[in-house]
Amino acid sequence: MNHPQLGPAMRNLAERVAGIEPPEGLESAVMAEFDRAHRRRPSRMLAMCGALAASLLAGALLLRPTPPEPAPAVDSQTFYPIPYTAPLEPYERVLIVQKQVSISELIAAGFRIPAADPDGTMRADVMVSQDGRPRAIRPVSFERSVQ
Amino acid sequence: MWQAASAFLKELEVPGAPAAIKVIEPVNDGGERALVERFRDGDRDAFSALYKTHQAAVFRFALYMSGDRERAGEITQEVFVWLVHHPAAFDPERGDLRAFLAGVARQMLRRRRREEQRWLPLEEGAAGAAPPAEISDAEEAADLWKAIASLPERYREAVILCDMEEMSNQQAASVLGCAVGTIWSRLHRAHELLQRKLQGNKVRCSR
Repeated sequence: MNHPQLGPAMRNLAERVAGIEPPEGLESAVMAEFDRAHRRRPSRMLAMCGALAASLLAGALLLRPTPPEPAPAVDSQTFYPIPYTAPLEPYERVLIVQKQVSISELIAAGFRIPAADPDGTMRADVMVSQDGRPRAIRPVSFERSVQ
Repeated sequence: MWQAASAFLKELEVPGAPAAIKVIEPVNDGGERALVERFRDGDRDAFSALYKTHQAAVFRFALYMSGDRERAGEITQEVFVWLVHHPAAFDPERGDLRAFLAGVARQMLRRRRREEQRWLPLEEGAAGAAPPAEISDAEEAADLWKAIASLPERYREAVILCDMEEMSNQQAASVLGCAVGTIWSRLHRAHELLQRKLQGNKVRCSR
């Protein structure tokens, strides 16, 4: 330094400033943000893996020469995914609508409903995804066709 | 690269002012580089270690530049939160983390000042010259603080980085985004101005 008297004064000031502590809670706030940021990441990764798996599964099903696996037997407890539709993402909102569905429509959609009256109808909860498409169905009650 | 930079600095040396040029040495940052890699992979302990190593320097830089302990704390927090969300922004090949973080802090200080000055009367928008309470009781340190605070920003930055924070001219140049020669000339001019301001204070006090 060209000004010798400045050096000691600067060192003195630097020592005093070094003694000034940052406000409390700074480190915990920063680390909390780190934790928040890294909690989100696995779920993003999972969502991406899920989407990839769904695409691969859909591709494999479409390319399969044989008929699809039989759909699970219908009971009144579970939602059954509608065959050949993309699986729901974990964050996707759905709407449940109860409506009358014809058995023939369900069979056409890929469900295997043994010993059912194809002309009959079914009261069912239909799970509709954000894009307005039905994704899954839960039977409530069967109604036979009037012969 | 370092040899080239040293040669460049030697060319800049002028009689009477060699001390303003600091010797540039490659930073031995092998450990830090490994920490940065681990932090990028999401290692919490590595990030915590980086925070502990650099937070004080970021805080001091923000404190010198803003003159406000609370604001310096906020800026320090913003810098590290930004780092959390931009882990790939720092390239160890292009410099050391200390200078990089100081550069981020500088940008944040500038942005905040721009936002605030929009709403402040002109006289209040000037940089605060009052030293923090921890310094105001020591007359010499307080005078120097005020003198530094009253320097034009480009000189103040050079003094804070090189003289107060003991960064090399190369590091300061990377923080400020200018040539190493520019740092030297700014320091030279800043020292002259500081000397004049401090002498002026002494003359006023002796009257």
